[in-house]
Amino acid sequence: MSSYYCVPGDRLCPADSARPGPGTYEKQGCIFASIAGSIKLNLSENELGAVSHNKNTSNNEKPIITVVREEHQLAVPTVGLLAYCKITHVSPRFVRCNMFAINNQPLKSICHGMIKREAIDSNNKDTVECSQKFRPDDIVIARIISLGDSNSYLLSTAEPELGVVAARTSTGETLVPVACCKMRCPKTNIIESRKVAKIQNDFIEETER
Amino acid sequence: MLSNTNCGWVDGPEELFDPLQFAVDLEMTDKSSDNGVRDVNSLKNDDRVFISKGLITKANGSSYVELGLTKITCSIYGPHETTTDESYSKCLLDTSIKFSPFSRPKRIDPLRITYENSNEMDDTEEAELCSMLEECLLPCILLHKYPKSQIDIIIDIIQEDNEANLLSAIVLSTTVALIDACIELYDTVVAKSLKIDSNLLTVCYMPNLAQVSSLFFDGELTTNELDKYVDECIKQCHILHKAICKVIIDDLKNKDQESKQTKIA
Repeated sequence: MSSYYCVPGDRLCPADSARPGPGTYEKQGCIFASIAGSIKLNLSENELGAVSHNKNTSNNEKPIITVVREEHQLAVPTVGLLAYCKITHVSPRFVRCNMFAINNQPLKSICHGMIKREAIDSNNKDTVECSQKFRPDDIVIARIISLGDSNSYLLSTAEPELGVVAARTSTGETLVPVACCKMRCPKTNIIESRKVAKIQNDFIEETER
Repeated sequence: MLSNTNCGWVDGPEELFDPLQFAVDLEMTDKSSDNGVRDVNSLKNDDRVFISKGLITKANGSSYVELGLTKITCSIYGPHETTTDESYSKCLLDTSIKFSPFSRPKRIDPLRITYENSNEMDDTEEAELCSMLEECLLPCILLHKYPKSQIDIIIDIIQEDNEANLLSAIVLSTTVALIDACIELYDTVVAKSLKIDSNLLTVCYMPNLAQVSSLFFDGELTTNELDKYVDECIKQCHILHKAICKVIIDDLKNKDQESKQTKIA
């Protein structure tokens, strides 16, 4: 299969025949490429359904045009995406962490994040104690909810699927999750409290996207 | 005595290459536009262009450009998290331009650039070039796609031939490096400078959008003359744009073929 290549600024197609995807932008009624790479046309997810149901808006029937470059994909922290982070500091009001990957794409340089006490759990927000939810060096999945201030991004784990995915005891033993707020050391059977992430299939799909 | 590894010094590259193997030869001899205006660039060498990219592996994107005898490398680091308090809904550009000590016939002191002769470069020239470069790049980067980040652009001038080629070569190398770093751009910016007597005209142009991103002019000309020279610059910009496209698309094709071959093997 031969592919078509483009450089930034190349006019790809008129805006009414496709929707702009990643690597493209829309201007003056046309879709232009914004990165160098090969051009791909993806039929939208609703395409098959849209044929049988004429009710769907024409917007759904348009294919998405994208420009991809295999070897070079940059991850930029954006509001709404999922971030993998490592807890660095736990204080009574908030938790600080370093983001090292976003949506399964490693970051070139780490970004600083902060989880406020109110954003840790959706249940019993007022009684949350940060030290009972996270410990330093835990690996956590969190959602970026705001760009925050100049120092750090604001993150949230107030969803059942978000929270600690890997943690160790103070002696270095890997903890095993047993409940939504408990992890057990397999050797000593000591229970430690954590905000454990409930890994679900649709969530795995989201990170793989 | 401290060992080299302790202070973070790098002894040098692990492998050595012949520099010629990176050069892509594109002789841009344009014979069609011989309408007298080109006499201002009497040297034919001024039109020779060499473009190559991806030389500096540690950088996100890099390029090496020769325009005439002017030789420039550009490397892009980022986008990475910024620490400044300034507007973080958009991306910040941090440009730094350095003249190599041997870039001019007269040695340039890398630490303190002072000259007795006022016609020579003064210590503000690097800063001035930086601000000119930022001015012509800002309209073409999709800054809103990189909130709260910063892009570092580091340019080394290895050799400077004449001042007419300098800004044009800097813009060219930065554009190629930005494309190599996969940073989203509205268009491929190219710049061309013309030296008319003692007047220096530089036009930074976006060929696909047909927009001039910035125009620098130093000297005196009538409006009609200026129009004519701007048109000439834009004509030359189209030629440079074709050269950039050729280099980048060839590079993409080569990489795709390599990846296919490794998959088969």
